[in-house]
Amino acid sequence: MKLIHKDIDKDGRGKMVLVPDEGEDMWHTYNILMEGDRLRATTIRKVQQESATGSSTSSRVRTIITIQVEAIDFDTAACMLRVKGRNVEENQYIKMGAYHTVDLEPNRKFTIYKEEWDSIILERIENACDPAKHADLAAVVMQEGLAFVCLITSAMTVDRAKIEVNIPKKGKADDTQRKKAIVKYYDQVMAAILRHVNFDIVKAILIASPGFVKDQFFEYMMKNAVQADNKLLIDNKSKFVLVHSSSGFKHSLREVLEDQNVAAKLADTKAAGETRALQQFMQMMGNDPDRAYYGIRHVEQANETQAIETLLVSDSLFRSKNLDERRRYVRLVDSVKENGGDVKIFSSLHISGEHLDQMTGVAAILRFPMPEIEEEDHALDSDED
Amino acid sequence: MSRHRDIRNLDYDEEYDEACDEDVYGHSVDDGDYGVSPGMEQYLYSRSRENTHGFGLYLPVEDNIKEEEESFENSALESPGIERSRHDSSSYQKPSLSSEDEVRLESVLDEMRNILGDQFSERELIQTVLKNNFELDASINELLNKNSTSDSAQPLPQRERRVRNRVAANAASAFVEQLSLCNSQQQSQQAASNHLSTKASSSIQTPMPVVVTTSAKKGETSRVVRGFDVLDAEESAAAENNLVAEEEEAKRSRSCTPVRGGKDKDREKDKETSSYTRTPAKIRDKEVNVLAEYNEQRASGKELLNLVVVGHVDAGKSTLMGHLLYLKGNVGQRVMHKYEQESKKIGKQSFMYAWVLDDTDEERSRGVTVDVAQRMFESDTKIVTLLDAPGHRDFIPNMITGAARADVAIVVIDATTGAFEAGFESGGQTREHAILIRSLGVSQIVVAVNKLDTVEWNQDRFVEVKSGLRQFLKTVGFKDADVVYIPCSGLTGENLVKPCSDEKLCSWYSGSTLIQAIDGLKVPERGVSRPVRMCISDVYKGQGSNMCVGGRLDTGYVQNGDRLLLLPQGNVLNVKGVQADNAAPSTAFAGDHVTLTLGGVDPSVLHIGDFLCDPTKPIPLVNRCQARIVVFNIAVPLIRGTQVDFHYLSVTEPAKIRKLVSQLHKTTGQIVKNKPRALVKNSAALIELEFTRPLCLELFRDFKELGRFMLRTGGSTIAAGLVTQLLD
Repeated sequence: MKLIHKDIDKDGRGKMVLVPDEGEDMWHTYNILMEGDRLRATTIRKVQQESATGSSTSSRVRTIITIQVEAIDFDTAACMLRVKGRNVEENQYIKMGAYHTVDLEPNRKFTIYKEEWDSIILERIENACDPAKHADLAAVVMQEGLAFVCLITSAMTVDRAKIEVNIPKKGKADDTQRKKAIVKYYDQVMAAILRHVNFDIVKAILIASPGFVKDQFFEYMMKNAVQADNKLLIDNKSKFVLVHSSSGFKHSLREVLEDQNVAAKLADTKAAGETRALQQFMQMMGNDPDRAYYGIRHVEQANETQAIETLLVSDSLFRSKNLDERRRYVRLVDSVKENGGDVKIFSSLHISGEHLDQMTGVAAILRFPMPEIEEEDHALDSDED
Repeated sequence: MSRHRDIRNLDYDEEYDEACDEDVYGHSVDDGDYGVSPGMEQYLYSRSRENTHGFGLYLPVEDNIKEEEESFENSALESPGIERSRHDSSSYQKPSLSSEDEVRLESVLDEMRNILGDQFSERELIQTVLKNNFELDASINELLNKNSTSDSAQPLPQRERRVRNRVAANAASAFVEQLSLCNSQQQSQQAASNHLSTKASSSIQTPMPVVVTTSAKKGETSRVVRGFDVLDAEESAAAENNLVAEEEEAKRSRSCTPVRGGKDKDREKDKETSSYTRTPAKIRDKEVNVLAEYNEQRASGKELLNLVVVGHVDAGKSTLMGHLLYLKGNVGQRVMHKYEQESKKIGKQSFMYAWVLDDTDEERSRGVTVDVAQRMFESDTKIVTLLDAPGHRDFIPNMITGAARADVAIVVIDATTGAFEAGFESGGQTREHAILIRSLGVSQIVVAVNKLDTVEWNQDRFVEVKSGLRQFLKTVGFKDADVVYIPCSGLTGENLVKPCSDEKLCSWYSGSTLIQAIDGLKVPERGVSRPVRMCISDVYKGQGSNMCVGGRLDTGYVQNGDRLLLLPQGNVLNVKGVQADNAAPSTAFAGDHVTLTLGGVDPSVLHIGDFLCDPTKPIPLVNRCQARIVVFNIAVPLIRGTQVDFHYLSVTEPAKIRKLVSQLHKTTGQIVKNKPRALVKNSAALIELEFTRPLCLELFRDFKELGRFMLRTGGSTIAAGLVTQLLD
């Protein structure tokens, strides 16, 4: 993402001009843009024109439009952002108040007008515009008969393919069926890797599985690559990293990212940082539960006494349509930062963010134990009962 | 009048005083920070207390959820139960002992509490210890055996009873509390309430006239909200009149969980069935008297036993079983010779017997079992389906699918110096497997102490292993009577089929061989006349366009030409062939491992983990379920939203914990805390699970063969559970 122009006055109103470079920037934009904002971007519109004789012709014209945003859709698989709204600026082709849906395109600039630019959004833009923070990674999580191919960028984990093949069990006199099924399974995983992984961009490809599946698959793939003289695979052989995971489900990707060897390789990526923070939280929960709280009510209580050392928040909370709720979280984040706490905003597209979302989306590690929060809560609960 | 009162009161008073004092001192260290009255204590959650509990504690909890058939004489048990809970632990006065004996008693008691938890009262413990002269082992044995005999004689304390009990116990404890609070001042009032408490225990309908203390209030109110009070009252009335039949009826309509839902569930089931009644298919056109058929076909022959072999990696499971199969003549001489030559060629001759069961290339080249192998052999009295489970920790999911199909287990122990200890440490598979098979419902095991030839058949080693294991297995919940220890060697074949021949072994061992031990195991009852349920554990192409599925027929009866409903897909499939190793072709009964040939089915429809069932009585399909779990020794506590792998028969699916409903007491199942923030290790709880796609589940209450599951995450088993309610 590139920031072209920024014009924000003292009370937070203003506009920004941005140019998205790649799919991930669409995800950032999705998190920046709120309902009620105004968006100015170039778009294509079908325009019907009626000639003097009454015959009508329709033509597609490219024009610049400013809309008041009413709905935003993000497609994770294709990384497309569609923004629907009403026209607020008269132009040659489109009347005021007419509905239009803009597909934001990479490398074309757009302008966002907001009534209030808050600290979270500004920070997000800053991060998005920092070219050093990119580290692309592909991961294949496997277990016999099941595999997921995912791409991990700094802000997203995107599923690219799920492979499911029925592999007959061992123990029959004739095991050709089993062997055939295994070969079919490996072939499908290999095809998925070749189709979805761009070897120019990714820094490493993780292959994770329990047991020997990863080794056998890697062996098979390399043997095949040599036979078929697949330069792409042979040249990038060193990019493959074999990691142990406990299962072939997508959520074991978290385990993979926690792995010491892998963590060293991606030390600075956001995904690894998030995983680490969540791990810390869980550990704290185990060792000293009075210093780990989740749920907005508990966390706010802890914040009142300035107890928060690390705050974990999922970015999905900032997409809330309810402005008050959003402000509540922004206030929380700002106040923690003010008090010298560390704030980690998780991407809800990462596995760790998904997990954080499941546990209400907000969690905190405290500086000192606060057992009273739970006690108070318990008292409240029993009152409710 | 006054004479009566005197006798009652005086005794009571003093004893209560003593008991309360003891209580307070016993816990003063933990609870020092806040003043807790002894009666409150049971409702408070304290982490430190949690740790003093042994592992075996929660296993009886499972038993508390029982099928309905076994729940007759509750009413008879009822009043003594109440009596006990009120008097025993709190009011029992220790016999006076010399100071030395006192210390010995305390240390033995501590140890026993560690192992047994609080399933026995203080009085029972002390009496047993004194009887056995401070011998720890003997006392534990006696207690456990006592437990088991009472098990067989009378049904186990049921969950139903406990719910009722709790009301009584609560009421009683409320009174007790008052007693202890006001005893010094108000003798006469006390007498009244004392009288009442006796009354309350016999009939809960008695209104409580006195101020209710907080603890009691908490318990009571929550129940009132959930509408259990009424039920319980009815229940006890019924019990009083010994209306067993009526009670039975009442129980049917009630959930076994403390949360309301019995009725919901029934309604749900009705809905479920009604939605399927559209399907015109019946399982078969002509009715078959399944029981008669079963008796005719099976009564005379050998009994069927499903046996799983577990143990630490490289303990010699496959070798032991391979050798056993060879000695029983299930593997040909020629085949064995071939294995011997081939294994010699790659320098792994010691694996030759393991190759009988490890038949894929990867397993042979790595020398590790990856997936469960299934074989069949006959002993003198039984037909045994052998399931050889992998021992490597990465393949525990496979091991679970195997163990879920088993009735009994052989635990193989490597007796080599250091190897037993390695398997037994906290990361060792001996430990984890034993816990797993117990949680999956296996109650009888044979412990094969393997590789004893490497230590020169040293008796001391055998005894050492045995005593080390005995303690542990007891804490896991295996009774001593259900565990047999056999010294043997898988590689030399010593003491497997023929009685021991090695002098060194014969010098001290004259017990049974492994095969005799297997013969001695009891076969559990099979749900032959229940609706058909079968979880598919293998799918492959048969001849022509037919598909074959393998798996254990969990309940019911299948014959050629039957129509079965495949769920979750919803197809009705024709059974073209039924093949079970142990029986005549074309029929199979519950418990058999069968291969069904299905006609007219698209191969892509069938998956491992799908269910086949009776089209008229389909298995419910749910997205969410409520379950009682016991949490194992985990590092990271379980909180809402934790993602887990859900293992259920052959099904392995990702799931997440949607809600922590309540934390339960491990032995009694009482609610300790509603909506806990987190579940720490070794706790029990009621939780709600959510799956990513609909799964076929049965309640443990309805089908004890189904309904048990394991939760795993990050390569370790975190909890075992029972399905108690289906939601959605």
